[in-house]
Amino acid sequence: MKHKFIIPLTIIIIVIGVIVACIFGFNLGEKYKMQTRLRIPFEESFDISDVKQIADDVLGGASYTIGYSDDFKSSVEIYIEGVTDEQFQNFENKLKEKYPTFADDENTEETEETTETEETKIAESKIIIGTVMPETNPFDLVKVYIKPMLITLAIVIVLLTIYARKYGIIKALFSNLALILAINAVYVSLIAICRIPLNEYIISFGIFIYGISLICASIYSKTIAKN
Amino acid sequence: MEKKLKIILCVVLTILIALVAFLGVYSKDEAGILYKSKLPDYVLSSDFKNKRVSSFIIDDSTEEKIYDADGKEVDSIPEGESEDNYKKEETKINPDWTRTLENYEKAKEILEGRLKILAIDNYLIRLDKATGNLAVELTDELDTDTTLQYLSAKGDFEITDTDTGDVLMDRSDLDNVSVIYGRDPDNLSAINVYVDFKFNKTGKEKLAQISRDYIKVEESEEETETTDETDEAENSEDTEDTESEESKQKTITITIEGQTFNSTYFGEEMTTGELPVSIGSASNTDDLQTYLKRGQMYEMLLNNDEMPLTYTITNSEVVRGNLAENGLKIATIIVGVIFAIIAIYSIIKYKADGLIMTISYIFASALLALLVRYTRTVVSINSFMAGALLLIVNSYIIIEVLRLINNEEMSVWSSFKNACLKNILLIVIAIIIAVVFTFMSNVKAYSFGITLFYGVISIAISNFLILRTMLLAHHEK
Repeated sequence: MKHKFIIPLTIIIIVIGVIVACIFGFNLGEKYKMQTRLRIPFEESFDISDVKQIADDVLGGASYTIGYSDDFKSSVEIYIEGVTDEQFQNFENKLKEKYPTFADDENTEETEETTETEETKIAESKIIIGTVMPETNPFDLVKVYIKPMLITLAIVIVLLTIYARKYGIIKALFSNLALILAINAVYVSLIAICRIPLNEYIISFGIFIYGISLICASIYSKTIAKN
Repeated sequence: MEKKLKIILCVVLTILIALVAFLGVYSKDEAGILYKSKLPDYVLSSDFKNKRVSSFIIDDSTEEKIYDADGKEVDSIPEGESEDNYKKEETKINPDWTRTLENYEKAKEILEGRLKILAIDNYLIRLDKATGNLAVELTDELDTDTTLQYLSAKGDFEITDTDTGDVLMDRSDLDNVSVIYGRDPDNLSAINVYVDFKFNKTGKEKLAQISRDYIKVEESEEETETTDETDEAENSEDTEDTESEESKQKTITITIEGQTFNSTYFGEEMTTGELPVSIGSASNTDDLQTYLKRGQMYEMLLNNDEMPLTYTITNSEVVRGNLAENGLKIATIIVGVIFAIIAIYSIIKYKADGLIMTISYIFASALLALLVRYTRTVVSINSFMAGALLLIVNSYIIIEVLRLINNEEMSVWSSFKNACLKNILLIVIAIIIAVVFTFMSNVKAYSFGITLFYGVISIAISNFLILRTMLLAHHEK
């Protein structure tokens, strides 16, 4: 009864996963999306949670990641998908309100010397816009594993087929291959369906799942050979 | 009494090795101030290190080209010549027709090929398909600046006549470039480093021709010197001829990336299709490494296609390795959770035997940690996944052992033998995965394989030394 339930469910998950992946693609992790890196150096002590709060208020629903950009924790980096000029200016103004010394006093003095108008007494922006990074191709994240996975798959399939040859070579070959591919396809489909962000942890866990699929196939071969 | 002693010894040994492996052994340094670890540090993969992210932007600038009356391109208008006889044209460095998606993708592939030759496998290249700009992410190391400089180079190659500038050979004649080195026959303490240019069939013929045309003139000089010495008039004429021939020594210039690589002539006709050119003579290991590295850069440039577009690096900044804090924590939690589930299940189901199994796992983990440290194994996130996989494989076998001991009342040794034989396929598959992944050049795949391999060794030692001993002591009558 349990077995009858598993196979249709597996097929449904894989089909839905393929459809979702084809239409919407995979949800790339924050680090791999198209993003701009902002670096904010501070000359006074600061609390990163304050910076995060300001970013939440100003940047609205935009997805971003925030963290220290150096080991001395003297500057903050924000990776953001896209930021308008208005949002950028608001962000800077809020930081200046919270941290008055954030405005560069030296530049303000230079500006005062060179011109008389009030409008030019604006500190030079301290937020540094770094590298604009295009979106990563998901294939680039996994391609290093394709060769070893294919080699181990070929060796293991041959081994399992020979081990379970009494079951029938063709039957053993295809049933083992189907089991290995099904387990991995379910994992990839669940990533696509649940929009799990694709990052190095998910890919590493995928290698673990691949190993588990080979182990499952060997247990299956042992069972069919025994029967 | 003896049984209890064996169990206590195994537990003490496990605690000891766990303390050493996970907490470390410290002693005061030479100054007697700070405590220094006596164990070698873990070698973390570049996942945990700072990255250098650089923007490769397609060069939008223009260059001025000067053409003479015949339409031939010249470097500059000669002094005294009228500018009216020459035509100046501003041309884009990257003409619009070159800015296609195909060329953008080709540029990315070429960069990947270059990084492969440099044995740099931890990188990420992102392509903006709309603009053709690239963002290249490398591990931030001492020589990253040099790597980036060469990486962005176009990779053009020419052999020209030094005097006339006529192009004699170009990239299309090249087949392969390699770096070779050997002892200097005149100075055995020095090692000469060469860049060996190998040409294709067409190139080989051209090289043979060029080597004849640009051969060393001294051979002719000797011939003229050996003519009739009594005829002084002839000799003086010959000498004059030799002098004029010496001044006509034709040389070729090898240009890589617009820079002169070497200017030379040929000592003999080159018929092998190979042209080794010296880039330096090293008298110590440091110099040798420097020259080899330089040679490797030329190898990198010329063993891949020429870049279809010219890029400039506009922004290169160091980005903190974001796995350093969270990565290790997350990976440790995953493995810890799997371990906890297995431990709780086995203790509940098999009571004392389950506890023995847990203790043997602690011993195996500690032993693996020490092996990884002392063998300088690169640790990445994948290493933890290998550990988790091994945990599951071994648990499956050991639970079978415990089932046979408790349910079928087999002896400990027979249970081990039976369980291993029944699951020999599992063990073989784990070893196959370990070996195949270990032989991969990519460090992420390699760290998975090598950790799995050392894990198999640690588990085998732990099962034999701790698990078997304690089970025997617990069950023997």
